[in-house]
Amino acid sequence: METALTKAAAIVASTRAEGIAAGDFDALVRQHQRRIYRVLLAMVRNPDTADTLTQDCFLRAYEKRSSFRGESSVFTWLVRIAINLARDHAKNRRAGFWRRLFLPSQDEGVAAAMDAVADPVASAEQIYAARQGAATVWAAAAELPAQQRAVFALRFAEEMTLEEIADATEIEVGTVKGHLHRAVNAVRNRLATETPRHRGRQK
Amino acid sequence: MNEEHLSEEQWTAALLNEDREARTHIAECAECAAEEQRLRAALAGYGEEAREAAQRPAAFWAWQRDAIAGRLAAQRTPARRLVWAGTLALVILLAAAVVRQAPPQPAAVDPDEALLVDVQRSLRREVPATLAPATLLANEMNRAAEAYENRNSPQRR
Repeated sequence: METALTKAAAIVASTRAEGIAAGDFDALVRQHQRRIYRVLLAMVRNPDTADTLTQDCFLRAYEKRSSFRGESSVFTWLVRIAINLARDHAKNRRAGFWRRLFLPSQDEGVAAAMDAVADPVASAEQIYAARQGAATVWAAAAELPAQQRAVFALRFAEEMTLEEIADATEIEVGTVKGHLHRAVNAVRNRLATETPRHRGRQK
Repeated sequence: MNEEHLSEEQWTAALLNEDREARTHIAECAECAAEEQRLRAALAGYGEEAREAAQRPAAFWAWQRDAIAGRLAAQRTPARRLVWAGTLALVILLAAAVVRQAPPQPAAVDPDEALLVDVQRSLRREVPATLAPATLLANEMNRAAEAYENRNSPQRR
């Protein structure tokens, strides 16, 4: 009986040889859609947009499937497409700045998610600190340039290695480190100004 | 900046577990250890929140796959129609070009038939075309002779 693992291995083997066959595409979507959606959600912070961009990502992957030669993993290749889509989306969004200015903030969603994440037996102060810390990171990440935000999300939300991030973003590992350094510094600065415990502790 | 503590670069390296010196400092410095704990907690909260926010029921993923398949089918259908329409238009254009540009083919002529037609034409003429000047000269001479005879005939005298 064919398991999901052997099927995935077969897809990888076939893609290395001759691109992705159309028949394998449904299995590929099934295998990667959750993680691609997660990457995109971390970048755009809007579930509907993340869903649309996830669909766009797989459509573009289908169009380009014959060009995939297996130099990187399928997931890394998909992340590369997703990042480019999110970047294009961010460019388009800038045009609607004034419209968005009057829309309600989406931070309620962040707070609700943090309720679920927070340890149920932790103290109220710990829960508050965890929620505020994560919300501050989200806010800091939202203000990063698209490339830095992508690198930051891939590292701290997806826990990808620096080499995987370099492959997905098509930049050198040293440049990935540079982006991470600036992003972490921005997060530290924001934590220092917004989180009570950090005040007066910025280096 | 306080040089007793970690630099900005060292903080990033420490968070990536890449700087042994920074790790040593954090292990010895309560203040930096506390900050690292807060930073790591905030970053871990961010990562967990990102994963938590992306949780969707199985029906959502099935719906998304259907949406992708539907959009793929919609993309392919017009493309196929376009290919067929383009092919048909090309065939029609080529046919029209061939019909317009082809020179009219002369009808095949049987050499025996052509010779027969020539003979018939020659026979229909009173004299062969090449002897026409001689015919004119002979007619002129005949008319001159008749005129002479008419002038010298006895009846006239």
